[in-house]
Amino acid sequence: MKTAHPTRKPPSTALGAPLLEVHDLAVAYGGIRALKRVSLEVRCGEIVAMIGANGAGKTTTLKTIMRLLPIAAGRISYDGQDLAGVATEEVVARGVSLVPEGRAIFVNLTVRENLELGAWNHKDQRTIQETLEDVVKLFPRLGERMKQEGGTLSGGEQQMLAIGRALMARPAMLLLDEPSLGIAPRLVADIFEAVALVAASGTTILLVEQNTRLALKYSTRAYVLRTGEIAMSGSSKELANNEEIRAAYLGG
Amino acid sequence: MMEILSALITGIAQGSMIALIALGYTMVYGILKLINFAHSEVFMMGAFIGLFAITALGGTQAPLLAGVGGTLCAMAFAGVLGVVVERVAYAPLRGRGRGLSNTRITPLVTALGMSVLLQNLAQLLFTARYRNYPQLLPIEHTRKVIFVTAVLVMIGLELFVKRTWMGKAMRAISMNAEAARLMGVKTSRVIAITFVTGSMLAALGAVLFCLDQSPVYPTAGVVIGTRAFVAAVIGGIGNITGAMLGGLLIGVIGELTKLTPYSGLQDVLVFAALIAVLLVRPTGLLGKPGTEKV
Amino acid sequence: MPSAVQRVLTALLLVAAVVGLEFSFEHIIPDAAWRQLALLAMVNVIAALSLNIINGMAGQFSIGHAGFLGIGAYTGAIVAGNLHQMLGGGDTPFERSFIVMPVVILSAGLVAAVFGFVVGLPSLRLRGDYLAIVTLGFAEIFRLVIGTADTGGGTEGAINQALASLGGQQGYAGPDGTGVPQYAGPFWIFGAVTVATLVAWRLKFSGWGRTLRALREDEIASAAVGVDPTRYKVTSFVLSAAGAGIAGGLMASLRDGNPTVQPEQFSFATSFDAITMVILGGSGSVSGAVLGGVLVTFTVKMIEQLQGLDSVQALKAVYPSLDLNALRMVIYASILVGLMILRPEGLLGEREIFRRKSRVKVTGAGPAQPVPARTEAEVKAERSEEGQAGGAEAGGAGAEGAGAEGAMAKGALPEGTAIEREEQPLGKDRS
Repeated sequence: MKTAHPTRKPPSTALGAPLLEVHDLAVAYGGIRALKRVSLEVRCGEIVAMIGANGAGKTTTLKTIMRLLPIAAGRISYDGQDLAGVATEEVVARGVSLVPEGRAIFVNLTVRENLELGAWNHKDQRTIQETLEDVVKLFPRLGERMKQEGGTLSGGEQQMLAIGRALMARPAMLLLDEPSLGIAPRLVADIFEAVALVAASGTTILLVEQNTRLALKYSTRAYVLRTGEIAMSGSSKELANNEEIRAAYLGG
Repeated sequence: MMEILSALITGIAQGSMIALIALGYTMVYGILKLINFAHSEVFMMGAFIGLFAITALGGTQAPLLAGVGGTLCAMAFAGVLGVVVERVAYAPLRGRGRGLSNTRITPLVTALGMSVLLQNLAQLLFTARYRNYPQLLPIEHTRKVIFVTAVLVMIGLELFVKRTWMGKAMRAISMNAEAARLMGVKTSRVIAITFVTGSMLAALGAVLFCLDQSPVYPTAGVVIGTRAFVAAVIGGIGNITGAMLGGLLIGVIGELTKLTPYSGLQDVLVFAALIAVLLVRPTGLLGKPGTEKV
Repeated sequence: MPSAVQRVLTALLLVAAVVGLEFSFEHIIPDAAWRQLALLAMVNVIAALSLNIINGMAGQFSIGHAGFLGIGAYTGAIVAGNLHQMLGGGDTPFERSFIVMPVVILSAGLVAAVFGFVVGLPSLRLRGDYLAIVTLGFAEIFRLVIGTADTGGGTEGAINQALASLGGQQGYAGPDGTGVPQYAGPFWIFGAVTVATLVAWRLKFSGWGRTLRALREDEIASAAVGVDPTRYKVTSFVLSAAGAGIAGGLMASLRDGNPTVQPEQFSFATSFDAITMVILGGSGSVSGAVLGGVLVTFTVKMIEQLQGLDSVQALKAVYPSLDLNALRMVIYASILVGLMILRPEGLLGEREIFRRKSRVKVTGAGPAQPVPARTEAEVKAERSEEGQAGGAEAGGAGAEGAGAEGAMAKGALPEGTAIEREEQPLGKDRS
């Protein structure tokens, strides 16, 4: 099965070269330092996972990359350009999309309207239609529910909608925040298979996931975040076999 | 019997004007979850500018030109004023003080501050004198024009919000502003457009209101603004159809009380109706229950 | 912890100071206008302190505080007027104020508290802005009912006559129309402010105050650990209304003040002023409310004083139509908007001017710094918050990160951080 999902604006970064670089990032939140010092890089075409306990700062990292939170110190650059002082909308326009934690779909809009909003930066109806067809190919369930309001979908379907909505922007890089959270196990596999397909079509992925087993299975490399700092990093295979990781996150 | 009928007709005309003003409250609340207390002053300023423009354009000499031109002038001015208020008093507070418990109260204070400011500015510029609009149309026609205009505007607005990209963006922001930004929606632009639309409708309502034999004066916004605000809440704040319904209800209640010896208690009844509705349906007649966040 | 002797001494000292003020006030501030202003500022402080309970501590939003003030003022005026008549009328000697004022304060507080209970009840069903609108509606109904009462004679029915006796728009000036007796001198006003501040302070740091704040930060979590939100919210309304009623009662019988109470004194503008005092000072902060009350009262007066300036008078001579009162309000509103934008959290935030001596109670898992004593409910509420946030690393250093993530999800800080914030001394800017 091949799902064509051309990215809107191919990054100038070559395949395998760093696309997203986070350097010594610190983030303060209401007087608390949520991130102390986080450095990571995601190379073009990779699936990188970020794992760690709840509260370690994973969501904060993603939100800061999207420029939803202010940077206290450090640097974020995407496709060779610094993201300091760039607005969220502009980050999206440059080709980064986030599937937020808890899905955050527009509950009173129909599935179709949700998806159309995802393509906000595209004004060409044909491109939008084509992308929509790609998304429906990826998640056939959404196709059956086009006219339903988003709030009436099941948790898993909402997650599909959230991912589909992010893909409507044809991002070069997709950030996923806890896609398995609160979803029936049967659908979790479907969702991760779809993510793998998206990656196979050339979209770079940074995945935050509490389900360490799944995260390490689908990613090429991974970072372990602990209380606002990177505690460990390496290839996902290595980490899956690491004693400490097994004990702390994989239940032995 | 005839009295009641005529009161109903007047009430519906009054109510549709109130509804026009209520829309501004409802739209801004829908998007920012903010009660824009300065909206009533935008209404009042619109009425003043409308009066000046209508007079300048010839008044009763050229009723059509003066009426249409004056209304457009008032709407343009109010639109700009609405955005200025938003940029001065609300925008600087957005995204600041995140996580503090009074993030939603502070904008209310600046809103109230803007309202006091504009009211006194009007008094300073235009004096507290009551001024009347020239009689452009016979009164029965004025009422018809008011009603038809209001209904057309409501339909237009409903289409705008449901069908256009901008309308969808507005609804998206009202449901989840952060997610809308993640779609690439420039929220500050959408917010500005919301303020422009709401303020222009208020000015339209203001001109219609004053054409219907009501004087304009610096505190005119308080009385009508309060009624419009109550209408928005009764209908379910954030809900456009609700604003229309609430407006009509308030208008009719107001006119019917005028038939009783308690005409002075009109606003008491309006507020009593408000409290009664809220107690039975905590989010207004058409408001969606449970969407209000703690 | 101060010993009992210290407490008694402090109390005696305060009483002596207040009594001293009663007799030396005219020497300290020779100008009658300023004296009046100083007393008014104190009454405003009581109003701000009472509003602070709802708006600051409970996190509810009342925009109809003028209603409670008005009810207190009318009650106080009626009680003082009739009592004064019963005592023979004439002057208002200091000795006699010991009969009149306690009754005024009690009745004004009680009647307002009853209304506070009625207005607070909808908080069973309504949240946030909707509750605020109900408070506004209540205040407006009160003002309109009194203001529109028919005073032109020919009124029928007991209720109508009772309302008409309040004087409608003209206002109420005692049972014989000669003015409300002005018993509330410096002793009563400063005494009341002192007591009100102490009570507010104790409330804020009591278990009740802490539970209230836990509710404010996360109602669901608090309810889950057995706190009954409705009871706390209604109680906060009752207490707040009682405080406002007392402030209103004092306002009505304020020495050198306005001897009539009028409905227009309790319009929305009054509620607005009270909100301004609380928010400007720093909502939730007791010293902030005091600061806000004094600051707002005097700022308004200062701008009024500017009207006397030669240059302003000259301007007025050139433009006779210039409305100085409007100009004053424009300036006032601009200052207010400007200040709120520069410091959205108010001058003090939720902190206090005086750093509270923390009662040290170090728990095993807690941070090494002194933490204030906490109620069981609060600790539970905190725990449940951490629990929600995953709890894997909730204790010790990990709580920092967990708190941050939890806060992000809910858009509010967990209770623990609010406490840390309070303990921060002034001057240290956090951002």
